[in-house]
Amino acid sequence: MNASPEPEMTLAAEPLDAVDLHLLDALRHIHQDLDPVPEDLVDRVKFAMTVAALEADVAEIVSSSSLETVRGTDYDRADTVTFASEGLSVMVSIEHGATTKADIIGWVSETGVEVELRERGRTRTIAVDDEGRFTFAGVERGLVNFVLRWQDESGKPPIITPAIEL
Amino acid sequence: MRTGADGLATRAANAFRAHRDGQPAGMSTLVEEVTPLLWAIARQQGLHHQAAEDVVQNTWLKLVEHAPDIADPQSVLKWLITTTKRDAWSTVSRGHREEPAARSDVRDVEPDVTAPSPEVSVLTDADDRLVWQHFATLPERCKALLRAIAFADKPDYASVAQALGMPVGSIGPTRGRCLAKLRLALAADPRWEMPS
Repeated sequence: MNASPEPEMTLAAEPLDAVDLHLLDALRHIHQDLDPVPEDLVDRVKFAMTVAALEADVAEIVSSSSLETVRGTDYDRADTVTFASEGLSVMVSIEHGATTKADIIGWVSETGVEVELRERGRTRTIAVDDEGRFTFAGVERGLVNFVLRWQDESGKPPIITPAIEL
Repeated sequence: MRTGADGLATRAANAFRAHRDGQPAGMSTLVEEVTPLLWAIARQQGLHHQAAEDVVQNTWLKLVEHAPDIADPQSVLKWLITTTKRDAWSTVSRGHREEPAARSDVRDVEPDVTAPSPEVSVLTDADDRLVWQHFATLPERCKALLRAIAFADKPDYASVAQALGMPVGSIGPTRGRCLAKLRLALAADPRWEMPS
């Protein structure tokens, strides 16, 4: 930087022009290349915010089968995942048809629970039946998670599951 | 996205308003739109990867807590910037106090974007390499300003600069001294061709 201060002051006082915008654009994609936002940061942030906003307990995945093949090309397979939290467990079975959509059949160890399915950009909620069963049909592939709420007035916190990929 | 009339502050305000009106997608949009800017701010303060992730995530968690206190949705972007910058700054200075060599150590093991030489080869575009080389010689405050501004939109420049604690007139509506320095450095480099 050997320039004397005068031309810098003059340049600085001018309005922004197309070259400035070009440089800022270059700086943006340079930084995106050299130091990108970690791929899963946005998803982790959203999950953490949901947990905080709901003041929910986070369930753990206690078992899963064939989750690793979720991205494979076999159709008509079923994946099973079991989540557990204090006093409650949920098993969900994911049935992939030949389309881009999947059906979710689930079972909760307790009754009197409402299950919310959180997909990208939308949610749907149903109550479990007398045996703790619930079904969501035609769910788009992608990351989903579940929020379980007690229907009684016990004031017990809702339970949120980690996201799974359909 | 960046050619629209609405700046990031307005898009963030709209998303925040939607969230307040009970649309769950609002917060999701807000996080997607603003996280790249917050990441740029946290990293440019000198935080290593993990610390920057923690700072950005905590900023969003604080928003959950403080959302009811933000009276004007238009100020949500400023709130997010200020919170990220302050937390990044205190994390950096805590690191220095507890472990005087922490920052330089981190840069040895994890190449940082503020150390230009190793990464230049990653940039395939000759024009980008020149911009990067001259950007790297700017004072720290200019790098912090320009990197953040690059992740906002033209209508936001002045307010982003202000939220970062830069004096009025640092950028927008005039070019400001940081961009002027970069322009002069490039103009003095015979390899640089001014885009027409």
